[in-house]
Amino acid sequence: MTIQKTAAILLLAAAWAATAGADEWDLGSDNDDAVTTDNVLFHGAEQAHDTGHTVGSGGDQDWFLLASHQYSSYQLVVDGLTGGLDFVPASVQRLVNSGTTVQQSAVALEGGGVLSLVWVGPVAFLTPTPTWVRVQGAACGIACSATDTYRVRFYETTYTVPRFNNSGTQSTVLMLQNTTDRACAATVFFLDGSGTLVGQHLVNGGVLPGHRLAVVPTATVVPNLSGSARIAHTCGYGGLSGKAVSVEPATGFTFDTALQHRPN
Amino acid sequence: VTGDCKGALALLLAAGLAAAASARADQWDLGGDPDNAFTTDNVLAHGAEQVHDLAALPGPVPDQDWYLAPAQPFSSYQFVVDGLTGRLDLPAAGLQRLSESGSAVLQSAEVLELGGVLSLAWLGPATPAPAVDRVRVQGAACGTSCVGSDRYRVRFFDTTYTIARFNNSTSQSTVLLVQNATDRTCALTAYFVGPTGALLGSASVASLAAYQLVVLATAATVPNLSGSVTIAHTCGYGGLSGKAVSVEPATGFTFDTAMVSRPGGGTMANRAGAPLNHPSGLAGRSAPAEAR
Repeated sequence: MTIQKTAAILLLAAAWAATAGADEWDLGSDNDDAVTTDNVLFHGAEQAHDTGHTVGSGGDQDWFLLASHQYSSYQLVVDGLTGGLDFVPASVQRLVNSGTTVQQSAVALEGGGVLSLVWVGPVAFLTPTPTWVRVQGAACGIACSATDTYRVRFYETTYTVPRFNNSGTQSTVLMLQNTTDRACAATVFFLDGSGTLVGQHLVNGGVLPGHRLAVVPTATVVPNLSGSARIAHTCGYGGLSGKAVSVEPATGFTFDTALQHRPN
Repeated sequence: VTGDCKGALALLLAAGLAAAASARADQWDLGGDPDNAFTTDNVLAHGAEQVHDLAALPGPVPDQDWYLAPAQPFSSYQFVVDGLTGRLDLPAAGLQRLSESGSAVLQSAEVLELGGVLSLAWLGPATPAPAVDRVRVQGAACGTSCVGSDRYRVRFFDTTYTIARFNNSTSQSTVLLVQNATDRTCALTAYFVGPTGALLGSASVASLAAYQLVVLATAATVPNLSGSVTIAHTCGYGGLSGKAVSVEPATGFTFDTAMVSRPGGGTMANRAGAPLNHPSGLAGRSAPAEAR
């Protein structure tokens, strides 16, 4: 064996070992470089990706497929960026219509090092609807390698309130606080005992300023009805705090029901 | 090239290839006691998260990954597979729960989230003896051509809820309000436990429709008794929302008791610095098994 042949084999082995360090969703022909990605995230998912897989003359793109459910809300967070990425809000975008239409770009948080997408799922459809998130536009471009990495996390952010009751002499007031310092929006979906939507309310006219507390007398939205509620919002995972208070003057009974988030 | 030089180059080559190969292996597949059968030693506790591959085994034969999932009485569980790479295309039968011997399939997964997530949700035994179910992942579309980068993630949860107090003694009575927080039909069983931990009674809802709210008057099941409640269900981790309300007309007192899920483990990357994507990045970082 000549030195040249041996060196070539060693280089191949080194390249193979280097590829082993790449993010696995970039490998093979059915990768995450396009809308055809198979990488679906479930609530609480956390993944580390790199931007080292260049496509043609462009930099790497990582696509994620997410299911949006009725009366629900979501957040996708990108953080833990290594130095060569320098993502901007347009680097993390949510797309619809089979990935052809950009629905929103991320909001840069925490001094720019965290990118967040928040959105509310559909109201009309019981079956989940697809939405895609695309990460692209690293500053290092085609010079990015497998060490240019970021972390992505995905949450369902919906809150549930297992009881409201405006029947008889009882009435329920909902108190919702925006626990963040950013304005966001929240919609309360009221469901009867069978799970059917009986009313909905856009809190504070659609804008809940930072740290603001909103008080919603539910009897004005769903009078003489009882059931449960779901709160879809754009305040992010853990971005709301609140409770429902039911009072029954005839008996003097009062009932507190805490908002419950999905555990992770 | 001298003979010494050739030998050194050969050693370098072998070391490089070995390093590359091991970098691609899922560590539960290595050694003489791997996870390729029901004899696996890989036990999952609540909050566990692991990364596995389905790289073909010598032969070649398609890889199988087996897990031990303990099932305690009066409890419920969920096993979730997501983050699949492109060549796996796991079908519902790609994730199954089996009997302790591994010979009988007890259930196949439910396909969620547009097909990219597989979920098993089940109830533990109603008898005091715990079971140790087996969970098997197999059937990747890439079959014997799968390599170490054909990976998926698994997470395992104890999905049981607890309610610290019900009271139907004297003039007090307790009502449970439980909402299905998902858009899928599921089932639940509420176990009523006395102060000593003895089972006093149970009530089941065989079919809880999407978003349905069920109101259970506990006095009908456990009259003149008090204690706590454990709720086992198939709605998945965080799939229910609810509370107990106790009223005492004689005094005008009311008591709300939250329905509490088992706390989650939080994010894996916050617990240690190992890279998430390498199989070893999550190895052994399962949440500790805590006494319930």
